[in-house]
Amino acid sequence: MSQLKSALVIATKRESTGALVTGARSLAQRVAVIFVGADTAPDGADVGYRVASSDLPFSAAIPGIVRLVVDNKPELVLVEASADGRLVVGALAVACKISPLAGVSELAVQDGRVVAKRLVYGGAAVQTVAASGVAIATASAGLYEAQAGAPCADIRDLVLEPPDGLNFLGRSSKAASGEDLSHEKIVVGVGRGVGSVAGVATVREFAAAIGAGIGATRPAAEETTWYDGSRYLGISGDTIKPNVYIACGVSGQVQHMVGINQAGLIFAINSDSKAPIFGECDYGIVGDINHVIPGLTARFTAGA
Amino acid sequence: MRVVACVKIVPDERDIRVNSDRTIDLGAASYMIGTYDLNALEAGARLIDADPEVEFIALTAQSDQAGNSKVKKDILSRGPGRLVTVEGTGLNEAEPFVTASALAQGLASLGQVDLVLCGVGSGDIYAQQTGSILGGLLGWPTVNEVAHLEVGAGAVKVRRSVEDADEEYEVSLPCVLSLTADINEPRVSSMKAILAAGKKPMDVVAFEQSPASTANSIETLAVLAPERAVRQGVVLPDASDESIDEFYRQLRRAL
Repeated sequence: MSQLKSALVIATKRESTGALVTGARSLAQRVAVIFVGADTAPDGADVGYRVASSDLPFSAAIPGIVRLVVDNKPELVLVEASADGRLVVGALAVACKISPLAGVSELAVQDGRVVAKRLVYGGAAVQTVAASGVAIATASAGLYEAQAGAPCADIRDLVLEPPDGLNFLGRSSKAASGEDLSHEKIVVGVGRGVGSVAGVATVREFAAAIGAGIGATRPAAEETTWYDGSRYLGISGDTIKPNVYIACGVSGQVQHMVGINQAGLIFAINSDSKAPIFGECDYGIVGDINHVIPGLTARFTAGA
Repeated sequence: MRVVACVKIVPDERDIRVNSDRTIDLGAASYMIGTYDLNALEAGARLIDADPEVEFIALTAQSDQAGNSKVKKDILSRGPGRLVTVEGTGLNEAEPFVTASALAQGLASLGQVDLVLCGVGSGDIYAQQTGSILGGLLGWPTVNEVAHLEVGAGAVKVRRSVEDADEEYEVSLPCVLSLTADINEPRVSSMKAILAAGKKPMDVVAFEQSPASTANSIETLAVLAPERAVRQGVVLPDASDESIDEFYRQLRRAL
């Protein structure tokens, strides 16, 4: 694959820096990175711009980042697909008068253009888009695997100045509610069909019996009172590739399936024989969650 | 105070048909309010609940001849006093920079606007960028992931929910806020609101396209249904003990 001359990476979280720089390195000869954290070393980058303030939010870096892009004109700006990443991309898109390549699942250079793939229509289709001039792409750090690189010799501090009219009052940390399932080999999914607090407890017992992580669909996470996690699997949430995914009370709509359909094997339990998931699984069973799952838990506990 | 909610009218993806060459066919799709735009409409409706003096307008952008009168009435049943539609060639398929440009023209036609509300992302493309680009084009302060908002004099206090923290800002008006999907639960329109919707004004503004930029541009090369993984599709039709045994055996083998 041919390479671009230069790329600018914008990592909004410390832990994302390595992966995104590695990704940019595969696409461009010269890589600059905007990164956070006083102790972060942007290995593999030629230049690093540190956003180093614990008093100000990342949004205070936006005007400085826009100036950097306008002055240096990198051919690719690879931005972490996070809340802060999307906010800075809005400003960059306006400065460069171009639509971003948002939420890409693949990024490559073809004939001097950046070409990206992204899911649209809730996951029903893949759009292939090419950018000419400057490409501004947002991607999850999980798209790339961080590789060791030469220590960055040129580290500068980015000047922070909050955007006009945005008066920062304070911040309170919160634990990301819900597990990071990206390294789990077995995942159990909670869908609307689980239906109750008791149902969730049943699913948790089952997951514990087989050593699985627990995820959920967006409706279960956002529209019910009986599931307490806020993270979910699907097109607007997390995408995982476990060896085995067991969908419990999950109808199988495409928005959720795109988050899990790269699993090695998909098992499904649902009381509705017409649920779309039965057309997308390797093994399924039509039955009541509160009957089937305790039955499975008992067999695993006994047979273990 | 004048509040505008931006709404996109999108095809229902459950109606999408896939051709044999994996291209997609939207011809049979019915159109609807983008799911997350309901949050923007609800947020506007709540501002009226709190202060009946608030003027609440809905704004959308779509291709010429797109019609959608049924969906437009649905929009008007959810709180706004009127709907402005920016119409132009290709706006249904437009990428965020063009969509935001069209919305900016719609806002300009209204005169003074104090607060613009957008959902977390469009129901079809879900780039999650249009709101932030719109704010930039207008030169107004813009914030995304707004999980709570409280309007005050000349400013709105917001709680912004990022991945590992909640940030509090005071944002000067006029501003553009992109809301989270769980900021509110959109209400079901009352019969009274549905009947009244048909009588509310609907205006059209023609989109003035700038000449295509030759410097930076993006081009859609293809939109195709994904290659489908072939799954074994062995479904046990009941939950008898024998079936659960069989399901357990297969799962055990897989783990």
